Amino acid sequence: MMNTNESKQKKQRILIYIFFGLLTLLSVLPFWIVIVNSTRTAEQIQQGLSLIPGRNFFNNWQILRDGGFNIFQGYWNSFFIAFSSTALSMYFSSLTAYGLTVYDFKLKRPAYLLIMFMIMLPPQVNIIGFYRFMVDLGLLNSYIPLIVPAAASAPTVFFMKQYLQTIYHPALVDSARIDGASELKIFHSIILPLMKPAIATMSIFGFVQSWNNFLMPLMLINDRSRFTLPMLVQLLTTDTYTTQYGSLYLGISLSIIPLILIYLFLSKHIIGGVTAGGVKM
Amino acid sequence: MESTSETVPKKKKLAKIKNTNKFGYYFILPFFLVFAAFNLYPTLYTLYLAFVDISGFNLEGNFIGMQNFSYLLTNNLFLQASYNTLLLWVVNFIPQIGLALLLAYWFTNYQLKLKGQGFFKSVFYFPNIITAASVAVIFFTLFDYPRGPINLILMEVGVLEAPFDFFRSAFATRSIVAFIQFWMWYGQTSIVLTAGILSIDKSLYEAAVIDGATAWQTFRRITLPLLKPITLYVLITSLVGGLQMFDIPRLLTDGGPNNSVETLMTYIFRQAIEGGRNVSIAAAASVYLLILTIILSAVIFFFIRDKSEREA
Amino acid sequence: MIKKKFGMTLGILSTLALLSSCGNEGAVGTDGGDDTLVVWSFTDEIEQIIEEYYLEDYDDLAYDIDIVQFPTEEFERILDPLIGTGDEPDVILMEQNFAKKYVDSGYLADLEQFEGLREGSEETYDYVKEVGTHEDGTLVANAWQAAPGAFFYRYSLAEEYLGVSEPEEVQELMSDWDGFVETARVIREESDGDVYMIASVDDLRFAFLGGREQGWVVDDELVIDDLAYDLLDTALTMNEEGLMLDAPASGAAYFAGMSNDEIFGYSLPTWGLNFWLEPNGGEATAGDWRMTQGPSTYFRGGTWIGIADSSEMKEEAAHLIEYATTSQDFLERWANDTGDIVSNEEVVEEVSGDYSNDFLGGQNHYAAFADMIDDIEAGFVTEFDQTINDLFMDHALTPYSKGEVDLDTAIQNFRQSVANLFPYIEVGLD
Repeated sequence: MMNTNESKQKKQRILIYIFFGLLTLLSVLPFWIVIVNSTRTAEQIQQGLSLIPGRNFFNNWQILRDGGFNIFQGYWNSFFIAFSSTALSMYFSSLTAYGLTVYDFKLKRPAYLLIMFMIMLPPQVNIIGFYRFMVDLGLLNSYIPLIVPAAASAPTVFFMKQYLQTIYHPALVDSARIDGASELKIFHSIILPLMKPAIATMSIFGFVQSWNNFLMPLMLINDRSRFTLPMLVQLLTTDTYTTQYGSLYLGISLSIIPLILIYLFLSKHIIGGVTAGGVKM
Repeated sequence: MESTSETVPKKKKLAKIKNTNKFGYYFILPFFLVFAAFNLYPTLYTLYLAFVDISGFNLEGNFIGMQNFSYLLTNNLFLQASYNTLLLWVVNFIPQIGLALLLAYWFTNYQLKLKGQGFFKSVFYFPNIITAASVAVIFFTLFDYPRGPINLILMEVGVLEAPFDFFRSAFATRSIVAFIQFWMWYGQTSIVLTAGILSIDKSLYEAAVIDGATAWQTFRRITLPLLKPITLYVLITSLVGGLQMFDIPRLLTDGGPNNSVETLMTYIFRQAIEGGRNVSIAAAASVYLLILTIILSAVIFFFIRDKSEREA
Repeated sequence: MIKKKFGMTLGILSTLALLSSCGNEGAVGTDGGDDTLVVWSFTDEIEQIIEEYYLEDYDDLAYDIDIVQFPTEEFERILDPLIGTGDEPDVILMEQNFAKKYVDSGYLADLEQFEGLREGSEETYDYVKEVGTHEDGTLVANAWQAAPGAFFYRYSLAEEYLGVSEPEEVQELMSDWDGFVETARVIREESDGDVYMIASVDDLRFAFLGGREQGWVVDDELVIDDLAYDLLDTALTMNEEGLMLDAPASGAAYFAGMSNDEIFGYSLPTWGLNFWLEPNGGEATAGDWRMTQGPSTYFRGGTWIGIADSSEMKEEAAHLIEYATTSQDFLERWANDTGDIVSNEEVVEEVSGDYSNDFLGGQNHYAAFADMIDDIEAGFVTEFDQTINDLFMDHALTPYSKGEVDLDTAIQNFRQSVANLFPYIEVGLD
């Protein structure tokens, strides 16, 4: 009885592993095909599928560059925006979370409720007003509208506050306060270091989210030299590359490789973050 | 410094600490300044734009009341876009939550003791982190006509005799968009649900085991009912996200063929940027979207508030 | 003290803002300073004109010229938000498809206030000026180019399958659309289906739609000309009978047909010869092409130049435009150097005298084109063309010609799609 049950479970387990294997293929194969095809010629790609890289990488690269696909510029632009906005977001979210955790003031609860309410409101819903406002301010083609709003990120504040509540104790800051340290200094020297784990987790999500943002830059940025990576990717669908399959695939590959690398190193943190916060990216 | 602080009377210390409360305002001020400038004001501006008649090269408009709103309710493309948005969400969400529940059930099944869970979770979540724009272009090339990889495979194995132009078929295009959404999100959903299951009181399961319940029975009778709130959370966050769907349909076929994957966001973008540049109509459509999102957000809000207040 | 520190913290914000605006240098600027004439273009020809001709002749200008070029498909999206704000570039280049939008916007300066332009433009072809004229009759944009369209065909293929080869003979076969389709059938039959008459619907589209007397929109009403219906039918017929390759326009297969023996001919305007046919035909087919009128008189494309009314350098801008669009000396050099058909009647007559093109087997296509220009009507050009042409392609021509929908559905969908993007246009739906 016990035996059949165990063998049944063994069978079930094998079936599940097979199923997991299929899902793994589903997750990986599309990217693998793209990367492999980026090393093949247009003719090879049209003739048939291969899972083994070819030898046309350099040629594809040449064609890609000639078509005006400036990947390094794109990397830098995206990195600059993602890095700046993440830094802003982390700093001010921690600051806000701290303000809402340790002090008691009249508007504390309304402020917190407002932030909680905004958690789910995606920035796209006011994009028309946002866009016109930026036109009025003459901020088309500027990175300011892509960076500064990150300083008011409700989900990050919420996560930071949740974290702070678990580690904060008035005794932490009492002695410093008695020593006459300023409130801001206390925050910088005592609290921020303590929040490193939360900042690390949220940084990854903030960075990736900004890196992947498409709609906002699409509306605001016109100048090709200021295009972010997703906007460059969009160029791949235009006429220039319709026949140059190899370089088309290479362009896509180059756009996803940084994220694949990030994921290889940080997937544990990312999965941990998703598990902890149910973070919605 | 330390020696002097010890001489300060206790009462004065307290007073000093109490005084600091006003710093709460300073600390949250930057957040609310940025919020006011880049979020609140644009929202009010959108609202204003929705009640005037700005289009084309006009920079100012006349107040026209609810006309833009009533126009939208009779406009077939807006209605179609609303329908598509919901359809694409439903078609991706049902299999997504189904598979996620199944995966969560397996991940947490104490009898199965599956190995490599961390690895599989990472792999299933992986597509979610990749730029949606890139994902769209990937699928665009994979389903390319006539000699894209999918056509090549399907002809190789004999499913197709001649290449099929996927992006000229409404059904195929919708299916591809829904599949991409499903594929990008089921991993995330399964991880959240797994975390939800693991947070359920262990003693309930122990009692069930003593009563001789099978794993499936405990899952159906204990896990599923207790998982309802978190499932609701997943459902609404997914719906709010789904309402904003833009990158994939925009880059795959730009809403085509025959508007089959035109979504609310591609509609809004199109109205504001293309053709007559009907900014006010786009704004009114945004307001509809905003209202819908606020209603959904309210549900989530009460959910999170109750939860965080229970914890606090 | 603490407030000060807070100021510092907030300073991070502004530092970052500063940082990100520092990157602005060399970015798109419409305000190039007092002594820079800013020119926005979608074509690189203007750069050639300015740098290789204008600045050679005028090397002592007291100001700089900054030419900013955008891809054609992005041009409107970039320029549109600036129109009317006073932040427009000084000089704006416009493509046929969207020229009227800016011409009729009221934000371009009257060109005839400048004497040189007023006099110089007298020799400009009427159709060119018609496109550049505001509804109230003021000329606000002019062009250096005329772009009559024709049908380019393969001499050897005509000889082989039609038994005739000279332009006059071929023209006789295809002087109307019935003849055109009939010729296509003959070619298909004689070649056992190896050769298609044309490569894509674009070879029909411009020739048909360019012959309309009315534009897409007249008095805020959508007008679907009979020629648009004829276009739909012809495209369907040619697809059903396998008379055209139906390759995506400007795609690989489309251009490949210029060098292999699969395609009999292309409907192209003047610039199609220099920009598309010669480079893609290459040595494989050089000398084997001929040009004839084809079944319709039309024009396709062209570049108009205007001055933003907000510009503070109108005189300087007018000087450039006068040179580029009316200087007979320049236009003659340009015509001889590039083979372009220019917009100035006198120059065209002058140049066409003893022109011969090797790619066209020595044919004097210049004279042939010159003859066509007089018949060109520009009345069909409207401010809606870019968008409505696309909508007609996406919702009517493509699905109908591929047999996906019937005629009523195609027309209905098209009308509806126009209504969606231009709510104030009466599209004729029930």
